[in-house]
Amino acid sequence: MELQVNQAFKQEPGKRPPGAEMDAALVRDPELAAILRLLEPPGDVLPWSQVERIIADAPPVRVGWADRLGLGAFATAGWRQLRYAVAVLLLLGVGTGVLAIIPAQSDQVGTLVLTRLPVAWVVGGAAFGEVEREAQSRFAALAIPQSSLYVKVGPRDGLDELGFALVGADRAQAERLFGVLAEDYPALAAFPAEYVPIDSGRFGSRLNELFVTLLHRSEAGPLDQDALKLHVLKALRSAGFRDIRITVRRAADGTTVVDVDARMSFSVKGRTQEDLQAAGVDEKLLGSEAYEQLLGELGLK
Amino acid sequence: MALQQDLTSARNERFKALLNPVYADCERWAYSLAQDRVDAEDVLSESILAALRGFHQLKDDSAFKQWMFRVIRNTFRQSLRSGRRWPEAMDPAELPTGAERDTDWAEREDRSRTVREALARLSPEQREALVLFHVHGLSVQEVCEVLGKKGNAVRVLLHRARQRLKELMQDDG
Repeated sequence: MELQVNQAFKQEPGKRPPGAEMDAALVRDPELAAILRLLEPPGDVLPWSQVERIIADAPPVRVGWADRLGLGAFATAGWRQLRYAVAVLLLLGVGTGVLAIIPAQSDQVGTLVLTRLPVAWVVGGAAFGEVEREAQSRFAALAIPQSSLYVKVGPRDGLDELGFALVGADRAQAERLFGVLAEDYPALAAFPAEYVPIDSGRFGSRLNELFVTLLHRSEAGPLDQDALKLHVLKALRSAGFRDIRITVRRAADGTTVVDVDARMSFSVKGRTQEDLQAAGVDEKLLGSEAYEQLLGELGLK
Repeated sequence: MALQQDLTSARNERFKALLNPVYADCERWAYSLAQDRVDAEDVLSESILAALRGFHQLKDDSAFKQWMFRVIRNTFRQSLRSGRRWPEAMDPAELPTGAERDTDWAEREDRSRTVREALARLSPEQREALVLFHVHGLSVQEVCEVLGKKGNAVRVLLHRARQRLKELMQDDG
C-alpha cells in the first residue's frame, strides 16, 4: 500500500506541520479514495421512495405571522400573492418607512437590531444624527458586500424603539455593529438588544415578529374584516399606492383571504371623496364604519 | 390552512429537488459515519426531518450538499449523545463480497481489512475529513463548512490523518 504522504515527517504532538507538508496532504489521492470507499454501503441505505414518504409526512411549515395577526392567510396560492401580501403588511407597519426597504421577493434579507431609544435622543436632533452617521460609518467599515443600513424609530408599547435594519448582514455582523456602537454610546448599552432575522420570503417567515415587534405590537390582536381592510388601505396610502382595490373574503377552509390590487404613487393628499370612489375605495368596499373612519382621517368629512 | 399547505408543499418540492442530485452522497456520508446500515438509515431519516425543519436557514442553494452533510453529521453526533456508541471497526461479515465489488476483491481482502482497522483507529474527525475530501471530493473550504472548522485546522487534520493512517498500516505490516 503506497499512500502519498511525506514519510520523513514525524509529527510532534501539538505541533503544526510545515506548510509544504500540509499541502502534500491536499493532493487528491485516488488510491486513498478507493480505500475509503470501503466505508461505503454496498447498497441503498434508505431508498428514495422512502425519503419521499418521510418528506410528505414531515410536519408542515409554521406560518406564525399569519396566526399571530389573526388573519388566517393572505394568499390562497402562489408566491407572488404571498409576497405581495407580505409587502402590504410591511408597509402597513411602517407608515413611511423602515420596512419598506426590505424587498419582499428576497429570501434572506438581513438582520434587524431592536432596542429602546434613549430618551435624550430626539429623532432629527443633533445627538440622533450623530449616532446615525456613526452607525453608517461603522457599518461601512464592516465592508459587507451589497449591504445597507437603515436607522429608524418606531413606537412600541408606548415608547420609542430604535431599529437598525442591516440589509445583507447576518446576526454576527449585526452583533458586531451594535457592540461597537454600544461602546461608543453607553446609553445604547443600557437596554438589551433584540436580534431579529429578516427572511421575508422563506417558510416559517419571522416577518410577523419584525412587524409586530418593531411597529405594531399594540395592534397585533385579531382584526375583523373591516379593520383589516382599513389597515391595508392605510398602508397602501402611506406608501403612495393608487388604484387600490381590496377584497376580503372567507375561503372554504375558513381562512380569511385578502386580495389587493393597487398601483404605486397613489396619494390621497388633495384627493376628493369622488377620487377615492373612482379608485374603488368606497363604503361598499370597506364597510360603512371603516369608510367613515378613513374619510375622517383624510379630512374628507 | 390553505396557505400553510401551499408553503409546505412548496418547501417539500424544493427540498426534494435539491436533495435528489446529492442523495447518493448523503447515503454514503451517513453510512461512513455510522458504519452500520441500520444506524445509517436512522441517522439519514432523522437528518431529513431535521433538514426540513431548518430548511429556512439554508442561505445558498449551491451549498446545499455541504449543508446537508453538516445536518447529517450533527444528527449523528446527537444520536451519540443519546446513547448510540461510536462505531468500532467494521464487522467483517458486513464486508461486500467479491461479486459485489470487483474481481480483484479476494486478493485485496486482507489488505482491506487492515485498512479498515487502521481507519477505525483514526479519530472521528480525521476519518470524516478524509472521507469528505478524498471520497466526496469536497474542497477544503467545503470540508470546513461541514466540520465547522477553519481552513488551517482542516489542512492539519487531513495531513495528520494521512500520516496516521500510513503509520498504522505500516505497523500492521
